[in-house]
Amino acid sequence: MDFELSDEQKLILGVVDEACQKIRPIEDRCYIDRRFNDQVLPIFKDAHLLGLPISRDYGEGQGADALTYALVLERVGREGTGIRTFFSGHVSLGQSTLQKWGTKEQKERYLTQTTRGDMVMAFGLTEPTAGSDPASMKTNFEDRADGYYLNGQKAWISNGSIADLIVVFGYPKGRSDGMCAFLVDTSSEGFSAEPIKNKLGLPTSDTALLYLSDCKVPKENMLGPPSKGLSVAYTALMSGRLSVAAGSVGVLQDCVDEAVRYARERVQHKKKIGKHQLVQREISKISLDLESSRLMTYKAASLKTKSDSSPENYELRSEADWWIAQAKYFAANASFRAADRAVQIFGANGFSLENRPARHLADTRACRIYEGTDQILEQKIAIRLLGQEFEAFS
Amino acid sequence: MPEIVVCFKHVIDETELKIDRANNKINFEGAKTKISDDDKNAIEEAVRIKEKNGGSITAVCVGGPDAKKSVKEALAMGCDRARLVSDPVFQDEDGIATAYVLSQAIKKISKFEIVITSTGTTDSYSGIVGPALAEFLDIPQLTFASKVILNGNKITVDRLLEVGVETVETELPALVTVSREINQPRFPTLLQIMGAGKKELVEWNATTLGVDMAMVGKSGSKVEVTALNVPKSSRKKLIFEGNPGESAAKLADALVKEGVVK
Amino acid sequence: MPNILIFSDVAESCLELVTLGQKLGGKISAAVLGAGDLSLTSQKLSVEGVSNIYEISHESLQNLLAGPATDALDYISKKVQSDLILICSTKKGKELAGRLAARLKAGCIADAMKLSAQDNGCTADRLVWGGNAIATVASKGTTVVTIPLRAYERASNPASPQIIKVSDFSPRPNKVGVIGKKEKPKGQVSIKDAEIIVSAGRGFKKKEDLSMLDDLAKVINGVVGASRPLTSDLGWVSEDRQVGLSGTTVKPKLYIAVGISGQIQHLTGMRESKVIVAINMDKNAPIFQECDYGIVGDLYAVVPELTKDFKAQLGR
Repeated sequence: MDFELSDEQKLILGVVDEACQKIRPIEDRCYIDRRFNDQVLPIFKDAHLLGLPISRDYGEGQGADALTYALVLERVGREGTGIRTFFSGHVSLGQSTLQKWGTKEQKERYLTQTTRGDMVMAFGLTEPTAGSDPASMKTNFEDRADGYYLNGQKAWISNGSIADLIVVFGYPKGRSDGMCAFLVDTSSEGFSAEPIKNKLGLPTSDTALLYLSDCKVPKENMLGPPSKGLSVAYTALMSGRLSVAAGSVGVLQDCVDEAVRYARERVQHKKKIGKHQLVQREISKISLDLESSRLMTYKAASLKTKSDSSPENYELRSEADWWIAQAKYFAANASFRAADRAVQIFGANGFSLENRPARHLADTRACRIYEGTDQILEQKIAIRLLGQEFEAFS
Repeated sequence: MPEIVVCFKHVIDETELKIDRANNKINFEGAKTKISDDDKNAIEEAVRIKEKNGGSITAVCVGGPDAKKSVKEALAMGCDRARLVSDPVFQDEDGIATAYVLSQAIKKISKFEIVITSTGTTDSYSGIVGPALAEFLDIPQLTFASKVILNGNKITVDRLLEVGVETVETELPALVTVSREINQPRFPTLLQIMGAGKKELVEWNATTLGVDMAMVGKSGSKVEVTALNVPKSSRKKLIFEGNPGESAAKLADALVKEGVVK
Repeated sequence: MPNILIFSDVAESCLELVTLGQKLGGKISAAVLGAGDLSLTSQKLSVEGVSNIYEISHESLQNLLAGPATDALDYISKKVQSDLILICSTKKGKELAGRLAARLKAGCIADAMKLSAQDNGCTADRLVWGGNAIATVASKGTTVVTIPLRAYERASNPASPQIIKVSDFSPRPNKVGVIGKKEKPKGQVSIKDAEIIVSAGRGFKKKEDLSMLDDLAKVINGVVGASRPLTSDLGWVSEDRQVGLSGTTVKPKLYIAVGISGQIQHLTGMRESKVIVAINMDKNAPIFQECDYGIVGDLYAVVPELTKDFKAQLGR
């Protein structure tokens, strides 16, 4: 197995690195001020990185494979989970889903602009009362002569209040089956959104509540066949989960870098704390978590690359799905542990948000919840081994 | 439709160096490499000139085999072909010798109308190579360019000088050195990076170029580096921490007492 | 005793090269190049230390373009048999040095510090790796050296060197024409001559907050400068106030860096200040390695207090 990066991957990571260096001081300031980082879009748009895994047939799509894209997200994740979450919403959950399920006309209409960053996407599945159980969602639509009319609320939607186009899910009114997906233009009448305040972490990322009040969606904006909404959602989650895994690897890398840097400089008991064995143990644990997460993520990404080239192969897709779940679960938890260890290595300084470990600690807590909670994923991982008939919720 | 040659250098990233002040050591280990910052502006300008006026761009780099990554990057940014001049004999030569080697490579390319370089590279920032190259090629030099306009066979350059902008003009062939202010280098897209692999990359060495050995390498250079040291700091480093009001008072006191502030 | 040829496109700066030349114990000839009557310039250079002045007046030298200037210095260098050619490190000086060295097949050292002449060559120090290191270089034979501005005092004792007006100068055909000149609008104050500079960095959150530096500067008779991010990137301060590698190099009596981390590109522009003060929230900021006095603290709290204290102490 060759783990060497190709020259091309090195070069594109060089481009990502330059963009990341630009965003770092801005993200620092926004985090401390607890405000949205509005420079993420322009800086990464400038670097042509907003449509990387989308087909080159559309706008600035670059046709990058899942592994190359995961490498990019890993680098972005190092800057902050908030920045990486922008990509998760706009690219992984938004554009990839549109590319997979959209009609030729829908793709041409939107992907040209979204890959350029002229339109921002988001993914609206979760509701205030439907998280791990999306099937219990309340958002519904009416099929009228002049379009679909959506009513309902979505919550915890990344990019929700900055997006131009959101994939929104809902049931036909009065029914609890036949879920459909829609491409909702946020400038539509009947659509509004507001940022969610007072989050524990991710202060620089937009997370929003969406309100649909007789929100009109043109007939040509149903995404995927009618009643196929849940399938649309589940394939979207594959991309989304992988993006979380990759971003978490980036966070792990930053935690080890910061911990090593600090341990080399900080002096207590008349020596650099890197000479203290217990500090060494913490650093080695972060590194072990980092490298395991990385390998799992790369494997998951490689399987997804294979699955993407043979979309009809159900077995391959299942296997990729399973590996992605494992990678996300492992990496998200590992990144949270690593952030906690890094905070400890920093001592009192670790308690300050002016230092990176504290921010990672706050931010990574979300990664164990979104894109599939730890608990949902634990079940998913076990069921593949036990067999479908062992499903807890049937 | 000008034939453009752009010269760039593959350097160690100076921001990645670890400086050990206590032991007067500079650690190059693990430092990444890059195309020298201002050379990227030169490549970008070459690409912009081609976008406006047509023509083609040959990128030339004197470097070791590890420079291939930077050569691919230059191709990804929009150069049409590249020549990597690589030979162990060229190691440790001074700026004049490098300019001579470049001039031989460009003479071998033979069709050239505009030669573009930066005003200096991030490792030594001497600013010698561009003007020396112009002399070896016996063409005029239009330096510190903040704007370049081509009109047929005429090239007009705004030079960013200390007192202001001087606009100069000449007939091709000419050499232009660009100021950092001239443009913002583009980010190549993944597609362009993948496409770079298909463009022509030819390697030349001292024999291919037929250089005069007395003009190249360490032996052919008049200037050599005999030592590399960390700048010593002889500052007092009196640092005040704690209550800002108290620190400010102590500082003001010290500066007034010292007579620095009157 | 080396034969030294000195030249600068700015006559006053050339006087700094006289001082250096005297230090090196050389026989100094000065080159005066231009178009028309050059006697005024020659007069400025008629100081103790200069043995003779070579005047070349030719229309091609009107704007001191590199081609004709190279031809002119090539001519004089051969007449004088120079071992060392010293040129002030202005932009025109630097572009000329490289071309001249290639013409003469001589060594070339840019921005030389601690230059010393040997039997058949010279040695010098220069900043490399973005200012992170000092390289000592040695050159064999005739060498063209550019010298940073304001590194030496200007020689000033009037004298009467021999003035040679060259009449047989025939330059190579010059195809470069100067078709326009636009001077930079002169700022109210030139930071390069300021004695006290109070400089702003990225520690400032908003453009409006810079007014606290105006207050401080006013009390101590200083001038406000800024690091590159605030001038080029954010545009909060005009570029003529930029201190650093790509801005202006300053040598004031007092340099107060406020909210500046001390990246090498900035340090290179102010590290020769007599007294450096740093105010920064980050105890690990590199600027604290290069300062005489430092305050680790929030500039928003420190600066107003500092202004108050100076006002009280100076009775303003």
